[in-house]
Amino acid sequence: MPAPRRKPPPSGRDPVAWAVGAGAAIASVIGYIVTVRAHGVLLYVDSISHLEIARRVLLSTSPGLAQLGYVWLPLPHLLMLPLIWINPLYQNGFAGADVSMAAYVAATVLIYKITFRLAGHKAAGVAAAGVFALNVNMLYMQSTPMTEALLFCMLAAMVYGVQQWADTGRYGYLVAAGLAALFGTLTRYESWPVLACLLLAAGVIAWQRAGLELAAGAAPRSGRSGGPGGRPPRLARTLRRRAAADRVTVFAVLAFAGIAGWVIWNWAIFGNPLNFQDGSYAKPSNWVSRGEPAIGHWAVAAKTYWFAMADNETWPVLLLAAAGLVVLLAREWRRASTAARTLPVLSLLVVPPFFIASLYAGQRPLHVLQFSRDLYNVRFGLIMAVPAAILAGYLAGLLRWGWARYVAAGLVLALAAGLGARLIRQHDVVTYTAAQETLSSVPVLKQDPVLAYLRGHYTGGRVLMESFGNESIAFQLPSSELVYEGSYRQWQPALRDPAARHITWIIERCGHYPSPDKVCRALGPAQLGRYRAVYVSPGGDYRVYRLAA
Amino acid sequence: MSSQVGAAGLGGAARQDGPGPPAAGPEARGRPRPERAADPAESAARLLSRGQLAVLGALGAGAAAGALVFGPFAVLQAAVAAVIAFYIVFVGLKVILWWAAGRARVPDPPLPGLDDPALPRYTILVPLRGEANVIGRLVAALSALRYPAAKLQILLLLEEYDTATQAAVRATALPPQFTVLTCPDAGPRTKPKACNHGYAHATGDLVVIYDAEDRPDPDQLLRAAAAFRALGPAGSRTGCLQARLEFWNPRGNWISSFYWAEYVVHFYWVLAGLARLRLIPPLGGTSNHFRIEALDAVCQANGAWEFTGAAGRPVTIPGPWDPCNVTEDADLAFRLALAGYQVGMLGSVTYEEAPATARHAKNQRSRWLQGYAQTGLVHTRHPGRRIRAVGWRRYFSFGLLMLGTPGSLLLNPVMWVTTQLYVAARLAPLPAVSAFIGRLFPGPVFYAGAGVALAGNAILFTQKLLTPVRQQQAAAGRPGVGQHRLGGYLREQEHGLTPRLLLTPVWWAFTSVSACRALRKLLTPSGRSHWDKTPHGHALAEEMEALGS
Repeated sequence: MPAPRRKPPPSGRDPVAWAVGAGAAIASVIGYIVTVRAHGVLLYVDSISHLEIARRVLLSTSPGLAQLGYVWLPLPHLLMLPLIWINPLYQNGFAGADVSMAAYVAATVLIYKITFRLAGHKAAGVAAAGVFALNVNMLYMQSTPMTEALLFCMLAAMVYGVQQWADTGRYGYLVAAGLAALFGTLTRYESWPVLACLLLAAGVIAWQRAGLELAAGAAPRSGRSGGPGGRPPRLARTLRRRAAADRVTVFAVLAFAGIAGWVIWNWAIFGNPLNFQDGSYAKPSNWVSRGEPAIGHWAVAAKTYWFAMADNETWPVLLLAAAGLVVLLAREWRRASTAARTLPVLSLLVVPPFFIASLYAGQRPLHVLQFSRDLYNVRFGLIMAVPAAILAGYLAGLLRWGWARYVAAGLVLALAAGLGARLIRQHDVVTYTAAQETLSSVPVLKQDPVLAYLRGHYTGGRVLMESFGNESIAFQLPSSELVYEGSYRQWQPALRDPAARHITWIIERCGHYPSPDKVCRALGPAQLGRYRAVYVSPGGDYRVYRLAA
Repeated sequence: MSSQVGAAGLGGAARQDGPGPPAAGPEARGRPRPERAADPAESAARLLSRGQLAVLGALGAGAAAGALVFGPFAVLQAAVAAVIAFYIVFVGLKVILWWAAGRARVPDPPLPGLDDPALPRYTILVPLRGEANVIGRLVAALSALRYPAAKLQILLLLEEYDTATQAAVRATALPPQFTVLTCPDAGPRTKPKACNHGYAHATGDLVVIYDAEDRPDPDQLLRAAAAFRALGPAGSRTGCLQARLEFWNPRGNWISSFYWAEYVVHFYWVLAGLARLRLIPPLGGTSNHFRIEALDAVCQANGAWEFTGAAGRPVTIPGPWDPCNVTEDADLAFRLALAGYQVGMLGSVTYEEAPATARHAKNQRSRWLQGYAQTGLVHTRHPGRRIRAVGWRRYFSFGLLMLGTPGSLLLNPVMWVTTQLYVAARLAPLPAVSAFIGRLFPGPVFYAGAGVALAGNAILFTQKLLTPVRQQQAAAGRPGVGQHRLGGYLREQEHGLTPRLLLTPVWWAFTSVSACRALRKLLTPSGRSHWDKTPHGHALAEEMEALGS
């Protein structure tokens, strides 16, 4: 693997990296403050769910790590544990947003380093970091307890580790890449296909590096002469294959340990190793309706994801990135040795095909205004901010003269900042807009009256309520008093005889949209005999019962 | 003509071997004799001291009292908590050592010329028993050492009862620097007793031990001399430099692969980390280079070891090694520390032959574990005195390694069976069993135990998995000059071992079997100092091929 055009300084001694990190930290804090002022931290219902899951590990009717899992991967919730027990930070969402903010800063620095090593010039790295950090959708998401920022950080770390290993051969980077993949695969499922591509990339790189290292360190064995380095060609090929296998094995074991552990966890806790895929709360039918326009239509699926990317990254950045990709391939793919070192970054480009296939198969819903009347999961397009930033920044490193590169980087940064400012002025920060829509969605709106009632009348005591679909209500209730579908050895007995399980309050959803919850379906006159209905929401969707004195 | 000296004239039952009178001059000068006899309580001749028995008794009484007051289950819970705490500390130490080894730098001073008049005299001790089939190769390997013959004294230490090896030695043409000594058959038939016998005849300023299967780097003696010289007066308290041992036949079979990986971990990470932190590295059995004054100091502190020889006659063999300890090397490391000396690492390698069969591997490992336990038990007598001498950090870390290594291997099967029982009981379901086991691990203990089990196993497994890649990467930095030709062969053999090491958990289970055997031998008076001899020479054909002969 030939050395990069300009060798970056040893890790930790690059003042520009520190400056990038400092700048990202400042941007992160400003973004959070703006989001707080816009009441945007907890707009996503998923934000509340993530906080609830993390909180229940420490404070619930059955605290413990078994609260993790079912659908979402556990790492984001584990990282929220340090602050989640502090009530004000839980209620305002900072207990989860802190993870996103830290991940955003780390991702920015890693994108700088990746692009610096790829292009060989700091200007390219700064441009890439700026494109990523100044993306207003990214700035918003990093202010929330959502998991996008952490995913991007892990993806960048995976790519950086493999890239560094490709260039230096030092196994410490291979280990770091494997660990980043382990953590990444425990963050979001989108990292799984990226890992698969990285594994292929690692195989190619391992084969190349093995050839280089064996040729460089070869010495004739036992005086036999033969192929390069003095070894017989057959032996040289065998050693090369073995050396490559050693490295790929190390990476694969570390990288896939997370997935293996997750499967074992699902089997141990839920009795089904694929519960995260086909469990009752995990089925796509929970979110994907049969009339989704992308299902069964490749073109619609592809266009849907394309529009999601464009809404998140903007057209100019995507065009720059496309240009960067073309130039990268044209320059680096002339020789196999230089082509291999682009593979880690190119692995990120598996994300669009992954989502397109998911949309086509009806595994995931994604609504864009071009095909739907609403926005839903449009933030899935934000994942491409990482490769787009790298490829766009790469262009800035192409110019021959140092000053010209910095001018180019400055122009790219100005473009990114200008695009962001325009989106804000036009109130077109799509991730924020989509969050507002979820807040005004029917399922969420129907919970508001119940929330208002409980604020005035809940005086403590155990509550029986299904959490799924009622997250906003659950968020306002003390987590240590809520008996829900994840309360170990309490949920089913409470459904059979709530009074015997000291349930004071019962909240059930019996409307038609969303469909009735499990409490509504399970409880009948026999269970409710000792309770009296104290509240019925407008339209009759929700009923609140209280244990009669 | 080599000289052959029996034990005549040096105390104890004597027998003169070979032609001619006993050699006069320096070879018969002997070392300063201690004025008192060694205290059996300060050796592995006694399993437990009175104080240790009292402590064990107190612990037993305390457990009984606790059972009466708090109930037997509470005592079990306390025991489980203590085991988890032990694991945390033990695994933590290993992680710290790994980290410290990454920062260790072994000095590489320039080698002196063979005609350097300041080169010290060197004594090589070669204890032999049942090595008739490898004498030829051994003599060739030792003859290949680059050192002025006039300053070299190689003592072949034979056993009085080992007539086969004696005959093989007589049949071998020995260069003039070789001297044959025959150890009297008195006391335990152990390697340390033979080493003591050799030490009494040592005339060198530096002393090193080599085993029959050792193939040291040709420049190792020069490197050791240079390293001691480079330490200067400030380093005069470095009493020993330990070279690294590597098995040169890791692809022989699965056993040799695991052995090879263990040695890499032990010498490149554990010992290096201990030396870096200025703790007490338990010495390897060979290739440890001593200043003679350090051995003299330990010998004086020990006193003279006394045994009963043939016909009931007393035999006195003074020396620094505990003749009853089956890992005399680990024991000597602590005795050096008591005498105020430190152990450093030497940047040179000795190649050894890994055992070929599971039976031999099991026996050898059980000897090591038995010896570690013996060493730990000896040096936990009079702890106050020892802590004052070596410092609490060095004392506790050494004790933890000596007792913790066999202890952890004995505990591992218990913990794994308990875990599997718990899982099986949960799945069956057998609620009584799972509840009982669950109560043994109250919340914090459960999470601590699960954490150390997961993280500890993952870290140590990864460490093992990294050994081939680490060695391949380091091979580029290994000096070619002065390296044994087996080193070049090993560099090729190290490729492709990682997939085999995926079965490391199976190997761990195997070592637990060895630990059980070690415990049985330790508790059996006749087995306590029994030396399980590992046969050598099974890979002679491969060695010949590797050397191109």
